[in-house]
Amino acid sequence: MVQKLKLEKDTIISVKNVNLAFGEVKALCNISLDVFEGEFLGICGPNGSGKSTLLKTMVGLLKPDNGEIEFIKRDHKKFQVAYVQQMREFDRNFPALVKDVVMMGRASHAGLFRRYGPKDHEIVDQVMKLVGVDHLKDKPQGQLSGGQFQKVAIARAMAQEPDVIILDEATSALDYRASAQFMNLLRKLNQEKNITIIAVHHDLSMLKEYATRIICMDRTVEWTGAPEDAKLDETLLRLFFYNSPH
Amino acid sequence: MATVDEFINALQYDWLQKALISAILIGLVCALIGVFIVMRGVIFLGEAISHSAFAGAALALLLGFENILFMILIFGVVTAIGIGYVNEKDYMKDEIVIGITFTFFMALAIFFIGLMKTYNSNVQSILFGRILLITDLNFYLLIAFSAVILLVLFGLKKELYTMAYSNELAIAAKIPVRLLNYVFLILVALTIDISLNAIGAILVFAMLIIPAAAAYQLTYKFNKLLVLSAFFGITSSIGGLFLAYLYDWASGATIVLLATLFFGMSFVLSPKRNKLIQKLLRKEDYYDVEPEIQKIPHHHGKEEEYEAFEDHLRQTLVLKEEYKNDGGHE
Repeated sequence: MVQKLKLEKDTIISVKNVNLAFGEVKALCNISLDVFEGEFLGICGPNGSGKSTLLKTMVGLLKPDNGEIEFIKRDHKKFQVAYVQQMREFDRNFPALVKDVVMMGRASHAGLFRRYGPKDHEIVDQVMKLVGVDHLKDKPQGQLSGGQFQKVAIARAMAQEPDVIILDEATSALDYRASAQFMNLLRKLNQEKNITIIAVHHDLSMLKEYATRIICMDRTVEWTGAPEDAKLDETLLRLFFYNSPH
Repeated sequence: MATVDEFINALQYDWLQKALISAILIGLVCALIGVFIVMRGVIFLGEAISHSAFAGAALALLLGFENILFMILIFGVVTAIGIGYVNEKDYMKDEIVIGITFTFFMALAIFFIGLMKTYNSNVQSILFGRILLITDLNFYLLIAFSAVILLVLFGLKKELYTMAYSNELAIAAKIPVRLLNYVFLILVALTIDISLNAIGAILVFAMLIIPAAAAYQLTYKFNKLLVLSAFFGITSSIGGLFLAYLYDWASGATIVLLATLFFGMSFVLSPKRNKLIQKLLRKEDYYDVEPEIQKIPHHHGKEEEYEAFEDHLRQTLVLKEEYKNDGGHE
């Protein structure tokens, strides 16, 4: 993965010809796409279509077999990618209060062998207020409801001062109301704070409601365009109902 | 049986002072690093490393080395790095790697002991520990290594804490997870290695897990968890040594039994599950989530939610209808 200064207007992540296979199984086939600054990019596709694999490759959890991912930045600061996973991937008995979890977003900023400074505490207080979890700060994370838990995850991501927040089915364990609240929060951060959002989401109608651009994939990029484009439904029907499952 | 006065009088002797300081240091270091072991859920890692260190000790005794600590250190650290490497490559489940390592080194240790021409009493002291017979060199090495371990552990506390919460989040946040993982494994190996002479290969594992597990019962707060774990570790060590001196019991075993007693008490009195203690503490922290949900200020943007929900239903119906029209089956 490469980080370089911004050359082309708007593009902040450029994925070029990325391939990734798990043994014999090809998860990503020649994926190329650009992510633009300030957009809310929704990614959809059937199970096994490589959505989560693509996100994990972008985040740095998986290394592509070939191809490259460029993080393009206007200044010389480190490109910050915040990652929000599914709720079930966490240990609810883990000893942490909400403020501890949010503070984890500052871990890499503070640096090795350094304690959190006043600036870190200030940013954590600000993002907890912004996200609306400041009243929960002394609550153990294991005792939060699903919606609260994911809001705290967003606060942690925001504490990282991210250029982009990448979400992998972050609302999969939430009911409709909590999901809508969560998506409203993402929209607010996207519109008011100009945070670029990349979200894999299982609920297509919600993705159409909130995303500014949608990518349909099935191990490769099948279609990309605006949510209101008529070709989206056509592509979704083809991917979800006609293509054979993997 | 000795009396308390005799114990206090004996404290003027160098050997008991060294034993007491060693016990405190081992209790402290094991308890603190144990918190991270328990949080990361790599409980049997300690068992595998302690058995490899035992194999190292057996080899050193077989070869007639004067000081066996260096061989213990080599075996422990190499094993820790080896486990880290195999886990990183993700060839197989962590438990399998640790299980094979643990049994391999146990067999290797027994093999080395079998090759000894005569019975060596040091073997028993490595297995069960002899804190009262710690040598000057080992005592000073224990102090030096404890200082290094505590310094590194507290220097990397926030990174190790984040990694324990989620390795994936730590990687995404650009924390050098790979490097810190090896550093952590080496710290665990060093902790076990320096504790081996005093508390024994079998029981050192208990000192890593039990104080941390006891503290886990009592709090959700990380810093409090560290303090409580250290308290249980140190108290078990001092108390165990005291009782062992008084009643002429095996010191290592007494220390571990006392730690287990603390765990039992913490488990029974845990405010996480004991309603009576919850009421006595009057802490909302320990109640169920429901009352908190009601306290959340009402969320704005309800209209948007309803609209989105309507769209959601409509979209589902449209997709199903189109699918049916195309001859699909529901």
